[in-house]
Amino acid sequence: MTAHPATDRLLPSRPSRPSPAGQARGGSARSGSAGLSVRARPVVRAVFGVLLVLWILVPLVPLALWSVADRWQAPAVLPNAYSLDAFAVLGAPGTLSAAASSLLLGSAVAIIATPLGLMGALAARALPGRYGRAVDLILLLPLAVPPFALVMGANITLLRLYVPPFAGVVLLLVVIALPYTAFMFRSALATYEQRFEDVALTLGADPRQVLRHVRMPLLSAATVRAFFLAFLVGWGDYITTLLVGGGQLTTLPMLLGSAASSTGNEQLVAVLSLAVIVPPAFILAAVTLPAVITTRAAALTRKAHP
Amino acid sequence: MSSRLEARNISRSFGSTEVLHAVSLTVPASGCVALLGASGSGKSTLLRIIAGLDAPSGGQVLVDGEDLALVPVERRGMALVFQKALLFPHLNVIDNVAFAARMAGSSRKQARAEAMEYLELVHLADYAHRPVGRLSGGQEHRVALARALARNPGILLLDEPLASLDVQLRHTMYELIGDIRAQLAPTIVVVTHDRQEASILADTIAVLDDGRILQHGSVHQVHYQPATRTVNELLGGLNTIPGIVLDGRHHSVLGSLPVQTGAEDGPSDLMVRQEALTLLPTERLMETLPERLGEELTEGRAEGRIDGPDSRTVTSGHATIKGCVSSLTSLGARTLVRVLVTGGSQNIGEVEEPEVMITVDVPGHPALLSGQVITVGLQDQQAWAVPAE
Amino acid sequence: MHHRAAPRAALSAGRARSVLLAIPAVVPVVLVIGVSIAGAAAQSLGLMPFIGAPVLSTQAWAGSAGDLGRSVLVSVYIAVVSTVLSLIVGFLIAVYVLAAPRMGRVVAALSAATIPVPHLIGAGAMGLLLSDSGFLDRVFGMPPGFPSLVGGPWFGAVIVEYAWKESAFVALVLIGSMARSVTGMCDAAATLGATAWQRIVHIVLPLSRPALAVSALIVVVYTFGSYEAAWLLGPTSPEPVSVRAVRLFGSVDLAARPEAMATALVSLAAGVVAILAGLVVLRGSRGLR
Repeated sequence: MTAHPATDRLLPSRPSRPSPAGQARGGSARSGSAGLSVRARPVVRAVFGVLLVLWILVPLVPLALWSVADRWQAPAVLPNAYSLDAFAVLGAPGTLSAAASSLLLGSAVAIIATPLGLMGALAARALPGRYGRAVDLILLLPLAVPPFALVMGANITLLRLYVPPFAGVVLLLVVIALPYTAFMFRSALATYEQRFEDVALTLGADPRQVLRHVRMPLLSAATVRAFFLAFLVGWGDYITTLLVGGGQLTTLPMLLGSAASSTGNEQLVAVLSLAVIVPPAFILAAVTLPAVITTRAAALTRKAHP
Repeated sequence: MSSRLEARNISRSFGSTEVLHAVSLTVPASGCVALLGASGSGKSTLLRIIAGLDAPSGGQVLVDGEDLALVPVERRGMALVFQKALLFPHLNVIDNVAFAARMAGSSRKQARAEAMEYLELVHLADYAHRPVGRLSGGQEHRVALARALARNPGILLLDEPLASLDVQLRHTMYELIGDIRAQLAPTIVVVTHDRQEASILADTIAVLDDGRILQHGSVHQVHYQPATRTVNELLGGLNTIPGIVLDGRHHSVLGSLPVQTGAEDGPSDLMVRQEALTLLPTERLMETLPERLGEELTEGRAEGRIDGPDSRTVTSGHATIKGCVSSLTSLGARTLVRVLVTGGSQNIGEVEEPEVMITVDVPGHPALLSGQVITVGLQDQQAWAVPAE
Repeated sequence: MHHRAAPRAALSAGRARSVLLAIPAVVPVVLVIGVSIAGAAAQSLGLMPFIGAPVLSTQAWAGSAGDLGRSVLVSVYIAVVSTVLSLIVGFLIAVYVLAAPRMGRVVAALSAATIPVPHLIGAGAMGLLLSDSGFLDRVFGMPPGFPSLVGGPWFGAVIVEYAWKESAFVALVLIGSMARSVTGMCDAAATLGATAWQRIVHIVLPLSRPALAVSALIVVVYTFGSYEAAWLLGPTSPEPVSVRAVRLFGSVDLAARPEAMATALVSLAAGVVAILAGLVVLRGSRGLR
């Protein structure tokens, strides 16, 4: 698909729009350009693919290099010396407690925002026309509000009501995470096959059994995705913790933020960044890979036994 | 275990559109009724109401005389198989079949043991522990059937269960359903748009159109004695000839033909199935029926007497119609021959159309040319008149 | 739900249950946003001071209208440029993923894997990559007159960070919305004689317009109000709204707080206006669906 602009460049004489006669001749009209394009196509495509991979991965390269760099003086392209010393900070009590706070925050947000998102999505689906759309709109509303603005406005009320900082941060992050969880369930419900429940009913399952044995398993994939997204909102949050926590709540992103805002902390920034992004990446892989493997296996077996 | 099912004056409206108009239907215990209709005729709605998945706006569903209005779906003792197999994707084959037993509180082990018997019934015991994503379309439908049967239903409801299968698989499924009827004898209601499927599976066919049951009768009745023109068309009848009934004979372009006893006098449509017509070689006809038909043929007129099957030989039982071949359409092993019949001058009553096209379904591929004059024979007692709509 | 004898009674019972179901999700959202707007408005007018007696004052609005306006313009600039770049790169990624069978899967997986990376980490990584003695400078050696990307006047590093993160988001949305339909359509177009380029322009682009529009809306509002990258990678002046508001909010001068609130309210209003305008445009162009 992506090869053709290049093919056109290689063949300046070729009219940009094929003439009707050329179209009618079809095969013979093509064979001239096809000879080149068939050869050029994989090359252009591969170059393009490499560029995209570079775009995605290059920003993470200095992060990885800095995390294992012992010394890396200015003009050197690669570190002068390597060591894993910087990783020692991960074992420090301050880092561990910050990690625990992040974990707690992410879990609390996910545990609350996931069922709320499901309830909201179910209600939006069940309510007729205008009311359903209103619920949809309200659940998406937090996307329109910049988090810093939301937090600043609510902060003084939280203080006056003596809401503990952790609870305040969780409350605000649940509101911020709700659009994501609700959207996950909304799109899952849009393709949800209602007749699975009908079948279960005719097979003698009562409504509670339908919920437990049909609806919940069928929505489990969406639940995992919603939970993961909500967890990330809490796990990686910086601005809400900064403004509401007021320094009392120290999470991994808080440590990272203070390290990154001053110069000369490259190793620390790199190691803390990895500490923030690697655990969710593992979870993501754990969640998605089994599904990929089973579908692959299924495809292979189907091929083997037609 | 099988139950008698009765639907009484079932109506159902969605908003201001009424999709079922006071439909009544009775299915005897262990009987099999096909609800035949085009899409949008309301047949699936009726099935959902019987199952309890939808509530009627009026009317009752009775099983063995008991009104089910307050009985929820899961306690109606019916099982419904949809067009899509709808196997639960999170359960493997055996656990799908064991679902009903599990819901009823059986232990996993016992439910699976029972399920295995039903899998054997549908010849899929070897597939018990496969994930459902790894079954072919035909296997999926057999599992869906086994899952429904494992609920031990008094009434089995089938909603276009085979529509997505190819012809060969469908015929295997027909045999399977036949076996199941012989072994378990559940009462069956099958919804379909395929008259052949309805004929193969069911004892009787209820023809549904626009929310009304037009006719409920045996397979033979709905085909050869349709209640209305629409029933004839829905069952694939291609010949509807307008005319008039006077004293037990129908008069039309085709001439005067005896019709069923009890046909009312007045403007009527004659329904003749294309399968009931044959092409007669002229020479043979002249040989066997020289004295009566010779003169009629010269007039281009058709006549037949229908007194009773015993009164003449098979060949002499044909009424004959003369016309010229208009076109041939191959059906594979059979051929549809369209014959143009032009009316003569001796019509009795008012015949509106001076000519009419009739279709004859013949075996093989007859060597006929367009425009060729041929004689069409009508088998015994197969003329059926219905008052014009 | 299905098996009630009287459909109407069942319907209203079902509706009541749906309303009950909606409450736990809807109430916190409405409450927090409502409290937040009211609190910001009251504080911006001096009616809810951190310390001391409330005094109505429009000083926070009138006194710094010029600075506030400049911040809004800066944020709009960052948001628009980042969004356009994100859409272009995201579209390219999506087209590649849909067109290249094996390598496309790798690109899709890598791209999706960056979604969980918080912007704070993205900003930190971009700092290590793009700063004056950063990785790219060491590899290629930037020309001397080249404006610095980190802390430079054009917010180069900020925009690159947003484009990097958000293009992955755009690609995810596009791939999700097109994966099924587009392959078959492209095959059909190819049999009708469309070249690869024609297929992209006449099939893929029109089919992806609804998804592009929705993701553009989300990205523009997000980048307008996002803080971390603008704070870490932007210059000290001019300030985007988020950086200005957070600086004023954390200022030791308590008088700065009403100004912070005014900034927050303006940002919030801008976000809502952008979303509403976007929805009106989306609804107006029915053909997009």
